[in-house]
Amino acid sequence: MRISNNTMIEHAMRDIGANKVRVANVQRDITTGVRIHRGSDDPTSAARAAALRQQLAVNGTYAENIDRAGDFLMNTDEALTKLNDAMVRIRNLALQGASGHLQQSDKEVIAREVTELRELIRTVGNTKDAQGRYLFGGLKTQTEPLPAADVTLGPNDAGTMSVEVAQGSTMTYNVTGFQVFGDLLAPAVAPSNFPPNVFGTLDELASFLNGGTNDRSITDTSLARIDAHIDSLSALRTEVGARIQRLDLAKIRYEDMNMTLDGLLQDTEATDIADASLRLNQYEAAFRASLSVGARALPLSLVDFLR
Amino acid sequence: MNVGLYASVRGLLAAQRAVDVASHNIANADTEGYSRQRAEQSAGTPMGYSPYGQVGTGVQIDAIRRIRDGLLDRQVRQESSPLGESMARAEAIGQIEDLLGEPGAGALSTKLAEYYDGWNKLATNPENYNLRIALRDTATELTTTFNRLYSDLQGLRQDLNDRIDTQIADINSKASQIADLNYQIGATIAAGQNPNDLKDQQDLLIEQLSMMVKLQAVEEGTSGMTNVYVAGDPLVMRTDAFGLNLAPINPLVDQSVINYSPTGLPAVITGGSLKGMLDIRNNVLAVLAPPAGEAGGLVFQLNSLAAQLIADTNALHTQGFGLDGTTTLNFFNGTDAGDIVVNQSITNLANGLDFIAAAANDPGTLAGGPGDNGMAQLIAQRRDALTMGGFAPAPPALAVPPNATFENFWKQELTNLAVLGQAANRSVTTQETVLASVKDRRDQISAVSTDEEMANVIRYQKAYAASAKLISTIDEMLDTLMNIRR
Repeated sequence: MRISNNTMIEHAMRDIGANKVRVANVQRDITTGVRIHRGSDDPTSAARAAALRQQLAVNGTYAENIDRAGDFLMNTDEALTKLNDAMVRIRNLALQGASGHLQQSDKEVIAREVTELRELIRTVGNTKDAQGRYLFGGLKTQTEPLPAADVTLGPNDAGTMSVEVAQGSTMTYNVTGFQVFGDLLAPAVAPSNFPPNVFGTLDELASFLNGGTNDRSITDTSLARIDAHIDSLSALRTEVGARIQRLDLAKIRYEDMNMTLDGLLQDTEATDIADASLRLNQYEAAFRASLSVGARALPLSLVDFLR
Repeated sequence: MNVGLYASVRGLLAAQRAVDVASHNIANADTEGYSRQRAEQSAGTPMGYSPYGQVGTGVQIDAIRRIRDGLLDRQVRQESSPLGESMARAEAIGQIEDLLGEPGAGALSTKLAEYYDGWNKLATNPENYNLRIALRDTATELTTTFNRLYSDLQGLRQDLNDRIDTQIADINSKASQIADLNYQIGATIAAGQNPNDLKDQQDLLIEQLSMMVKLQAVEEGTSGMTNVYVAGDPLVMRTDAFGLNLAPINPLVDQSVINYSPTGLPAVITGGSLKGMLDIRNNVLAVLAPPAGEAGGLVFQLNSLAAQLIADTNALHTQGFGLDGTTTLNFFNGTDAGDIVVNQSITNLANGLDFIAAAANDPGTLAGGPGDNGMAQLIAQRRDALTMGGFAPAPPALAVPPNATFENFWKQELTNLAVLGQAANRSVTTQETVLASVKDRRDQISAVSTDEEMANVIRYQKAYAASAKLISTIDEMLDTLMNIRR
């Protein structure tokens, strides 16, 4: 083979250049921690990484939805617990008031306590969450659902709010004033087959106690209604608890899924540092060798040896 | 003895000439396109008819010839145009990928995802102004990303146009240089000389030309001139250069075609960097709708994505209600990626945030309320809807329903581009290796080795010294002869 000046220089430059490119590439892989810098580096992996990233983002969105709905439900649960406690206390008062050997004045004391508890229930019914939304206002989240003057003047809204917790799957997360207190626009003292709202029941109980109505009315009407309210409150609390649990489980599932997806994403596009360092050493050695060989071989010329 | 003196002088002259050629070679050791030359020498014509037969008359230089293999030249030209094409493609696609910036915080995929995430977050708390601000801002970022990509890609097309323009000027200038060289080569050959250096220059020009455009170069047997053809039509014919020119066809899309200057007929560019750039400009970055059944260019697809997104969001948004009961309001204005913008009423007016229609029902009515997230939820769910990719071909073929979400549609575009880029990059690597090995073989034959030349110089030096010594010996002999009479 005939070797010309050009041949040697071209070879040396091409090989040193190629070695340099390899060192530069692996260095970039290590410093950025990613081995795909552009789609064209590896279209298949890039597409896979993009799909994984999208899935991660979507899961993150659902997880955040769950957090927000969860906050609201926790607030609701707390409020329902307070309401339940108040109703249980009222039930005890009603039982006391039904006892035949009570003075009218004692009954009026009980009635006052019932009125106090009614006010407490109204205040709890106006609870807001951290975002300033009335928990039991339905869709009218910015309007007090139970105004102090007259609860029937509230919006009395039965609108439900829902949140998307998985693709195409929404969950209602608010409990409406309707469900908790009953229809506020129903007659305060209802026909016996029509369940009145909580405030109607309490007003009726107070009026029974104040008006010296006979004990049977209290036991028959009020106690039965209070029991019905407590039952429906319990049912609501169970439902709210079940929803919180469902959200928790879904959240755990998303967290697990994202952990897996994250691992897959790392596998797809992250640099394997150990492997890359090894390759860096290898390439560096080759680069060093090619430079050193070039420096020794290229300057050789017959000219240097002619006298 | 006279013959010996004569032969020695010729030996001196031949050695001098050979050293001249070696000097020329060494001087041009690094000249691009230069091929080494050799002084070809042969024994001089003998003097005939002496009683003892023919007597030699020394050495003569027949010709100074360049050492070159025409087959390798053809191979170099053949391998140059695919390399030129893939290099142009790889460079342009690299630029496009840099502009798109995927994956990254400022990339369109990210902004699309954030946009729908904005609706989704608003759906969890539609009366919250912070979330409304967040949605307005992510939507604005999405539209500015569309606008930026559109103008950047159009800028790249403009840039490609300029480069095509420059390249055509370059091709024309090289063609006329080749034609000029043809004239000089023809004259030199007619005078019975070897136009070695002129041919080297011409070969280099043709080689550079073949990087830009695929061509055939045919050397005429007797005149020594080389004719250059592009797709069968002449670019250089003997001493005439026919250039290419650009003819604008559609100023709207900065498109232009390439014609042969003399005929005005379109030139078919089948290879070289010119082909690569034309292909990127006309196909990869196409703005206009593709013919039925073909994939659209990136700018066209970007525009379809923007147009569909505008229509899709607005279709729902106009049915929704703002916090203040505003309805039938478009969320996006504009028609394509170039002018998509969030409705200025939402972004500019003091109460603009109220106009974002998150509610499905009028909040003033019994069915509605500030907590109503119906429309926000519907819009957020469009993220998963199949909205893109379908088309309606002419009957009787069945229309293809949309088969991709917004995000997947864009991801497919990115993958298509990435595959093109990968193919171009691979092709560059392959072609570089092929071309390097062909050039290597050519260098082995044609390139100068200074060691070899120096060795030759020593050889000729020895020959020169020997011839000179011979002259002085003959001189002495003549001296001896002259002194006999004293």
